[in-house]
Amino acid sequence: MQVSETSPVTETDAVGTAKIKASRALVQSMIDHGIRYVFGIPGAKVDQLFETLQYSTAPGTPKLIITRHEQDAALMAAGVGRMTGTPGVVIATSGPGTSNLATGLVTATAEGDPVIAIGGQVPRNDVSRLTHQSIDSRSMMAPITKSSVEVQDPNTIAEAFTNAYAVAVNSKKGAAFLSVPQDVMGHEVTPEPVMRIPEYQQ
Amino acid sequence: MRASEGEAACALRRFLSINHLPVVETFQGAGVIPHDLERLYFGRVGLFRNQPGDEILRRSDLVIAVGYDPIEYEARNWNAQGDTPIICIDDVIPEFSREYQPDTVISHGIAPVLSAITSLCEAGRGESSWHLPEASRVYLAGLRKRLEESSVPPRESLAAGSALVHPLHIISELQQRVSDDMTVSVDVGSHYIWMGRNFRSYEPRHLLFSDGMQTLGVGLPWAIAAALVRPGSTVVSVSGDGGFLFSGQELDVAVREHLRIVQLIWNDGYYDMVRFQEMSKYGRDAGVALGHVDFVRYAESFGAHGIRVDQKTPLGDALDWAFAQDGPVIVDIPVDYSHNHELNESLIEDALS
Repeated sequence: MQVSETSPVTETDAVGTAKIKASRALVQSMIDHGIRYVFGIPGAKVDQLFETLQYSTAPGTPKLIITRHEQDAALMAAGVGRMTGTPGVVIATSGPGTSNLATGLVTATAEGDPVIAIGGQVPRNDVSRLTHQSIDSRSMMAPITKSSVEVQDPNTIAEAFTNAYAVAVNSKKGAAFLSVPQDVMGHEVTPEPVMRIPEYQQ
Repeated sequence: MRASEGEAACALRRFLSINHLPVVETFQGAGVIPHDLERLYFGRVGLFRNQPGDEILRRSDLVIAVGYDPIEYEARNWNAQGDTPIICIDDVIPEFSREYQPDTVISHGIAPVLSAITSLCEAGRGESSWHLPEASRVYLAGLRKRLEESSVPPRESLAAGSALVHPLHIISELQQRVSDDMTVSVDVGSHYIWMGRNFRSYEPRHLLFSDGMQTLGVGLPWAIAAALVRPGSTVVSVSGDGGFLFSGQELDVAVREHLRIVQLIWNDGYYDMVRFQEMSKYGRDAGVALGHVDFVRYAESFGAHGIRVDQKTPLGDALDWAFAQDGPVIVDIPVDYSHNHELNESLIEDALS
């Protein structure tokens, strides 16, 4: 089982506990897939992931590049995808942060650039309510990406990232969108063995 | 678009080094043809049907479409009659249309398919092989000459002291300063048409265009991505004054991350790519006039460098200064777009004799 240490900043990460936050499992999946940069802008519903990325000391943790607009973050991720052949990663908060990704993901999917876009989302019990920064992002992204998935079970977060990677990198390449509700991102999970798609030829 | 990807581009180059077939690139296929195969290059197609590449597509007995995606240049533009024989080699099954019904589709992957064909060609050497007919050689030589001539800036545009710079002059000066390892990202606008048609590139995916969606604002974000994944060489970004401000605020990222990006702005005060098409459709423009922005001060306000081309600072000097800066720099170029009506004129007839 591969679990990388992070600095013990949050109480769940104290030395000795077997469980980690889903955000750490997600970052570990990024490391396992060789992601070198993550572009984006934090917000209240997704800041747990930024906190994990900023303070992770795990080797291979992607570098965080904070932009001035989420559309540009999506285009930077798409540019990484176009030039390397493997997905760039962009993260935005819920509501307008995620909707700001739309044009960048439309462009990536039309033009064959592999991208994984992670949108923060309100907690699962708020998804159908009128509440701050709440939109049906899974539906919004469905017609303009190759796949649009909302992670419901925190224990499947690494699996969701792996499948997003596979979809993004399979020809015709394009964008894969993952909506992650706030309570899923912060939930405790048991770390999984490394999961990643094998090198394959097209 | 898929022929410019790593292994596909390698396999295509090996294939072409044995089979000396003329090649037309789409904008997103730029950079596949290396220096030593440049005699096979017949320009790029993607917009208005008036390029040497369009002529060659019309005249060909067979078009081999490698990694071609219809979104780049729909077949109704280059095969309106639907009578051109086509072989499709790709990673995916194509989208069919009335004008795009390839006679053969091989979708197992560009790299393995072309490698297999190249091996067959190499094995079959010495036996009777295919030769380009003499009449075709003469035709191609004439077309190549026209392609070269079309990139030469008009003589009057080079007169010293002119306030505005002709697009071909900008491209010529830029070409001299860009080496093969540099990445050039291009935003969307009239400048994109000039660059797509006239700027040469010899490495795949080192000249980047948003061709499928033509999204404004791609230039600087892609340049930032290039500076991160290809450290060690300067990155050039080419935008118009319209598209630049879609994403200009990311200059902050370029400054923070200390990226060597030379950002050219072809400045005319209009959304010109919309404007010149409105002029040809309606005889007048609508909703395209922009205000004046001081891009040098804009750059400096972020902590970046800026320089403006004018009578005191010729283009060459400004570019030399920009390339020498250690960090992001904007070059504001007042561009002469008085010739842009030519961009969509002289469309080739569907049927060529």
